[in-house]
Amino acid sequence: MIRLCAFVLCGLLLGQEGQWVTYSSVQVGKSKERMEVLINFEITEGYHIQEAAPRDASLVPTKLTLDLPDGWIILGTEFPEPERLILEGNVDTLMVYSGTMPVRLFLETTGAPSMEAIVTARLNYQACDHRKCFYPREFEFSLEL
Amino acid sequence: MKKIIFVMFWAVLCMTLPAGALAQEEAPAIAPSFELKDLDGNPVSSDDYKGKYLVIHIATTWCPFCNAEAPYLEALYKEYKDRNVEVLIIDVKEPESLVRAKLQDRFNFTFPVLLDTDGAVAASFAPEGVLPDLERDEVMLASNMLIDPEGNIQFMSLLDSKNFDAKLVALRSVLDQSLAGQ
Repeated sequence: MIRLCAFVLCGLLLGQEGQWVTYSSVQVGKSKERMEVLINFEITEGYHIQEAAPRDASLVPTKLTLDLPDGWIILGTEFPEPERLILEGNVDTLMVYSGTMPVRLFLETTGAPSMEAIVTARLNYQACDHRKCFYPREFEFSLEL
Repeated sequence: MKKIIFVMFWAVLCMTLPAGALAQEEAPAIAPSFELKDLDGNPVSSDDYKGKYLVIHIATTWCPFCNAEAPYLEALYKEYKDRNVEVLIIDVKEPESLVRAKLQDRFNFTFPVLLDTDGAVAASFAPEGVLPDLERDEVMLASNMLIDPEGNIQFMSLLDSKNFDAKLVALRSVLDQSLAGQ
């Protein structure tokens, strides 16, 4: 049975300079030594970010990393299905995320003294809007697990 | 005619700007001079292109729109190089090894790719007041410019991904008219 701990984090970090991604909620489900974390990221309206596994190796993949305590390991990270963005005037298409981007993390805490921790997480992404593409950014935040 | 197109471009650009940026908007009529190194470490100066038409594309390796344009830039160069037209890519803030692998080796450009390691040259082209919240070099990513033999900027397009012009139709149009008016 999964014990579902849900909490909504207030104070969206939209005020952070030059960031176009923040998160609106985190849900943590725990069962024995396994943990499932759902993070709902919010991408600013009008912007998109590159998918997690772009076909074009030159593009900057969206990547989520966590500084985990000893004994914790990430079993997997699940990004949503990206949307297709057609580049006008070109046959190429981009696969991107926009709007709400739910990301699931599957963790194992075998050997860890505790299944509770506050960890630092980082979302690396590269955003564009309808006029510009921007340098890759790192959105760093704390997660209470 | 060239001046009319240039004025029309800036008029359209100004109409799309935030209201706060309009008052500061000015067209950089004269292209800033620069000296950068190419991928082999050779210095390349804007003075080397005096008397020629010069197409400049500001790029990064991760920029999807830059990569989409890349084959069309090479095609433009091959088509126009015998008509006093040169092409340069200025890559912004990336190391030589990455640019060589992801741009040069991938697209086999036959024109120089220059390294603007601190973004200062890209920033020097940024129109004042446009997208003031961004770093000035960031404003110029994926932009194209046409500089005439006298060193005047005859065309500048900042990225407009909703009306993306990968095939460089607008740039070619201005270039054709410029060459026809010589």
